[in-house]
Amino acid sequence: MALFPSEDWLKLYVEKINSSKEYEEAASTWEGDLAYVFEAEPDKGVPEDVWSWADLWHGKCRDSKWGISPEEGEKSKFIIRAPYSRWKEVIKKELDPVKGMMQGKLKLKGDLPTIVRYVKASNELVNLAAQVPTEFVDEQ
Amino acid sequence: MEYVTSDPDLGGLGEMLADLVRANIAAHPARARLLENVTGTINVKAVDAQVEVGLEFAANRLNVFAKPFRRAGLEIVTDSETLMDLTTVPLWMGRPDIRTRQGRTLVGKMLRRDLRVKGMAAHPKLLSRLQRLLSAV
Repeated sequence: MALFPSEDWLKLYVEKINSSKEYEEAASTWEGDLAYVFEAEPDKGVPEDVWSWADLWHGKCRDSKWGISPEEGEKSKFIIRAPYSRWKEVIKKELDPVKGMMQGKLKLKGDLPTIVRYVKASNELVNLAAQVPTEFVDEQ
Repeated sequence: MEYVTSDPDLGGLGEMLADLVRANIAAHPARARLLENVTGTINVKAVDAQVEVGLEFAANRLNVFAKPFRRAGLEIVTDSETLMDLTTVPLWMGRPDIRTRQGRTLVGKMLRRDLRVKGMAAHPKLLSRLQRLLSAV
């Protein structure tokens, strides 16, 4: 069980990604790093924005970093950001990420044509996040 | 030349459609010609996300509005997943290619009315231009 958001959670998430045949297949030609921004919600135990980073390459996660600076994160090919409680909804599969983007609840920065070509891989990343045994910081 | 203009308070769906067309024209400049010699309005609605935007082809531009038109020439009504499918389906003559599995899936959704395109018969050129501008394939 890992606390979300935390570095331990990210490590378990990366393990899930690297052991998933479904993701490996859906993202077999994907090349690009991705920054996740968990936006601050002080009343829910997230006092400031947290940036994490994953280097996704041909269906695997080659590297990841927790707590990078916004300057470093902004260099990522893709950035997806939302307040902590929206991420919690995504991880609990209460919010579909595509629907969330259309509602403006999740903000994406990066080449959109590339993202839409890899919707299946994106959905698989969400499925894997939901498989991480998670304790949420506002439920401690 | 600015090919796509958009309301400042567009919201998610409008931003996605505007960004997709901008990115596609940047990657394939010839697609800017799809904005020429065509006028008309289109409402796009993602039913499950409860969002709807208005698009207008006018003066060699695509204008994206946060609010739908009261009476648009075309109306595309479906769920968010199918809207994404419309951007990735292989096209033939500007329409979903029914020789492909994805094309047949979309036609099946139209037959089941999970994807409704009102005004398609009256505005085939408008629909074809929009499909090509949004295509990420």
